[in-house]
Formats: sequence, structure tokens, C-alpha cells
Amino acid sequence: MRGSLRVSGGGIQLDCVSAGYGERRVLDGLSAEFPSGALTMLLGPNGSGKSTLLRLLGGALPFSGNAVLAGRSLRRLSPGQRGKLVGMVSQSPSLTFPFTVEEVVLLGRLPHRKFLSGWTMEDRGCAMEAACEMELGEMLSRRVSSLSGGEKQRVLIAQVIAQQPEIFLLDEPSSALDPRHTLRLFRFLRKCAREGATVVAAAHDINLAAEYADCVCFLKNGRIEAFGDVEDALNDTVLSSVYDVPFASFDADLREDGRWRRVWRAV
Amino acid sequence: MRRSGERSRTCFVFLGLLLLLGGAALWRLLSGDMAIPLSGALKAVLGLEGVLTPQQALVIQAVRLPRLLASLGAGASLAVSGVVLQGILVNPLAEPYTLGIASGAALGASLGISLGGAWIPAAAFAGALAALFLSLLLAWRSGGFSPLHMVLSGIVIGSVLSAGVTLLKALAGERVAAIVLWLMGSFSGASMEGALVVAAGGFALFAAAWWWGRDLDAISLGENRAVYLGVEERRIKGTLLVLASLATALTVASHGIIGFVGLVGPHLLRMALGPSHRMLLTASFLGGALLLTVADGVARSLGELPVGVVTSLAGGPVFCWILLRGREKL
Repeated sequence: MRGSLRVSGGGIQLDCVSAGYGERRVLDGLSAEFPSGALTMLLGPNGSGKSTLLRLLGGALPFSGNAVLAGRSLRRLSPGQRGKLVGMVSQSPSLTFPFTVEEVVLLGRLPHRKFLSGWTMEDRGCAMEAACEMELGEMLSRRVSSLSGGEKQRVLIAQVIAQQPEIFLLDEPSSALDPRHTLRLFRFLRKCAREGATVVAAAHDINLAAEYADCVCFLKNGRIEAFGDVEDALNDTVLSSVYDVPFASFDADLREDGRWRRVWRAV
Repeated sequence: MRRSGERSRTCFVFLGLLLLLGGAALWRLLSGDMAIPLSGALKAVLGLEGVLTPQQALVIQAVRLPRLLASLGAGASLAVSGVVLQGILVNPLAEPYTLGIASGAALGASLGISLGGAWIPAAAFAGALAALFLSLLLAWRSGGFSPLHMVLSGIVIGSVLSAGVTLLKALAGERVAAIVLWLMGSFSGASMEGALVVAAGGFALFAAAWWWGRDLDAISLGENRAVYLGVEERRIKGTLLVLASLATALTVASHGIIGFVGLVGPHLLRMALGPSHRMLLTASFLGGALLLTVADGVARSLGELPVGVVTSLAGGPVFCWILLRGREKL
């Protein structure tokens, strides 16, 4: 187990959680525990319920069952408390209005604002740091409506970094990012996890999971198909059965530290 | 860390708005059939004994000042409603009429006029609120309060109610002229009390929206951003929606249908100042008041045209220009 810093009592506990849209049930009685101090990757085919689970944990979707975040029931959290505790990066932001990059990143400080006061120096410092983390320092005064999809995604990620949550939820955060920023993001997320944060990210890149995740959780048809440490749960058999396509794997010398790493490919 | 160039632009825009507003107000007080000296007019506005004849003082206090206040309040109210609705529906094309509010008011008023002409403002007000209720109900039943559902519901309800107005016009006989005139909007014959009620509606909306300015910024990012940032989205959206409808309904009920102020004013100011709500709301309050006061002055000086015709004739081309100038700037 890589996550030696895992803290018991923190993290996310799901107990028989179901949710859906109208009549359609998407999540069907999920029970699981995403530990704090670890990066958990949600994997599974399109429509398996990854986004639904993340939206639910972010507080944007009603559900049945019980969800506990950092020891507190999600239902009992006020919006303000939830904003301080949980940060969510959703898929492909549209960002309709021409705010500047700086304004959008600063809004990440919204849950921390003091009554009647404007943005403090601390808020501006956090926002600046977050923007630099996503390499946005040069474009702070650009209008977000003029940015590319990947740049918008980085602005949104920077907003959530500025929010300084204990729990990071990310829905396919790297879908629009170039390889350089994907690497940068996941190194940052791993660092946050090492410092005690709970990080849950949905993705389709199995090799990204193999490289950075501590735990993997496979969803299929709204149920958990496999869950565990990345070394145990990520294997050809599970992948083939979850994605309904045969997988081949080989070892490659890709690690920064020179160790061999297993690489998967659908064939 | 607002750039200094941006800050001086903001100052320039606000200073310009205030100067133009002052100029427009003076123009409206001094222009008319009866010549009145500037110093006397200002004293009469403040209620001081002046050099004016009783007739002159009466014209200022009972005719021109109420009319000026009515156009200021209605313009501010419509523009602020536009900003708020655009923000909470995350739709740069939303305005007080997108939710069918205006069509509802028009149907109510037409009904009132056809039935004999009593209680027209009350009928218009009831119609506006009924239309809002219907479009919210339709949006809710059809899948939720997403921008798309709300705008589509507003369009459907608005079309049906507009058809109702057309039907009433066809059935109204000699009263059709009264309906048509009311629909085009006017400030002639505005009363002080009426003007203050409209202004109060606009100010209540402005105050609430300004108080929640940052939350409104987050809401206008769309896609549940505000929920994830810990904003009490439902409560704020609900309250602002009701206040915006109230402000619009009060305006429409007293002065008829006045289009484009809620669309063009906020758009021009968003181009100049950016979409950050506290600044945009304040500028739109002033800008909307200015636009409608000038429009009313133009309508008056062209021989008491309906003010709705002036705002649509002037606002339509401006809006086309905004659209053609580039989608990115929306």
C-alpha cells in the first residue's frame, strides 16, 4: 500500500448510495470507502455513473442512502460548510460570460469570505498561487470566453485549488489537457494526497491511473465492479470484464525512478 | 489587482454615466411647451419658493418631475432585471421578457381594456405574475430549472399569451386603439406615487442583487459552479427571480411594454466594464435610467410617440450591431 499517510476517520464513506435523474436510476446502492491521504481513480465505461457519483458528492444531486465526508454526513452540511470541505472540477466548462481569468480563480475563495469584506490579501495570494500551479500567471487579465477548451479547464482547476478543500473531486480533469499539464495536474494531486487530502478523480486513461492512483474503483452499470489498491485491483481480468474488450499489458521502462511499469492497452 | 488601465476606464464610464444622467434630467425638466428658467425649475424640484409662477411650479411638480422620475425608475428597473436574469439563467440573451412576463402583463392589460378600462395596472400585474408562475411550472415539470428549460418555457408561454392578446385585439372593436397604445408604452400622465412604486421595485431588486453580487458571479459561471462553491443557489436564485419579476411587472403594469432596455443597456455596459456583477449592476442601474429617460425625451419631442416604439427602433439596430460585433464579446 503506497498511501502510508492515510488517516482513518477522514475520507469519504458511501453506504448504500443510490441516485439518478428522474425515473432513470444511475447509481444502484453503492457502498465504498475512499480513504483520505490517497488518490482514488474512478474508472468505468461511458454512462457507468462516475460523473453522477462525483456530482452527488459535490452536493448537486439528491440521493438516497448515506454519504459521509470527513466524518460529517453530506446531508447535514450547510452549503457554506460544504464549499470549504469539498472542491469539484466538473467536465468541460462553458464559461459564458467574459470574466477575467483572475476573477474566476478568485471566486474559488467564495466559501472562505468574511462577512461584508472584499477579497483579502490572503485570498489574492491563494488565487495567485493556484493560477501559477496551472501555469496561468501570464494570462490573468485575459477574458475566459476567449480561451481554448484546455485553458478553460485549467482555469477551473485553479479555482478549485484556490478553494483549498480537504476533498478534491475531479470529473475527467485531463480530458482537454495537453500531456504537460496532465502530468503537472496529477503530480499536484498526488502531492495534495500525500499531505492528507482525499482526492477522487474520474478518468478513462488506465495508464494514468496505474502511474498516479493509490486506489482504483471500477464502476459498471451503477455498481462497483472492483475496488482496491491499484496493484491488486488493476489487472487484465478486471479491465476486460469492465470495458468488455480484451486488454493486453506489457512492462515498460517509463518510471522517473527507473523502475519498470506495467502499461495496458485495449486490443 | 485590477490593472490601472481598467480602473481608469471604470472611472471614465461611471463619470460619463453620471454626467449624461444629469444632463438628460435637466433636459427633461426644461423642455416642453412652457418655457421655465433653470434656477426656478431646480428650486421647484426641491420644493422651495422660487421665482416661478404658480402655473410653472405646477408643471414642474405635477407633470415633468413625476414623468422624469417614472422614466428613471422604470429604466433602472428594467436594466437591473436584465442583468439579474442574464446572470441567474446564464443566458446573455435573457431579459425581463424572456420568461413571458411582458406577454402576461400585456394579456392582463388587454383583458382589462376590453372589459371596460378599469384596473388596467392591476390586471397587467396579475397577468405578469401568472405568466411567470406558468413558465416556472412548465420548466419544473419538463425537467428542471436549467437555463434551457426556463428560456424554452418562457418562449412557449409568451407565444401562447401573445396569441391571446392578438385575439383580444381582434375582438375589441373600437377599443383596439387603446390596447395598441397601451402595449407600446408611455410615460405621459405618470404620477408621483406610481413613479415611486416602480422605483422602489427596481431598488429592492438592485439592493438584493448587489448584496449577493459575488454569489451571482459564481451562479453566472453556470454548470452548478455556485453549488460547488458553497453558494445557497436555490434560495438566492428564487429570491432574485421573484424580485426581478416584481420589478418588471410593476414597470409594465404602469407604463406598458418597453422592450430592449433590459437587453441593450446591460450588454453595452458588460462590454465596457466586464461581467462582474456588483459593478455591472450599479452601472446598469444608472445606464438603464439614462437610456429610458433619453428615449422618453425623444418620444415626447417627436410628438408624444409611444416610448416602446422609440426603444425598439433604437435598440433593435444596436442589438444587431452587438451580435455582429462577435459572439465572443457576448
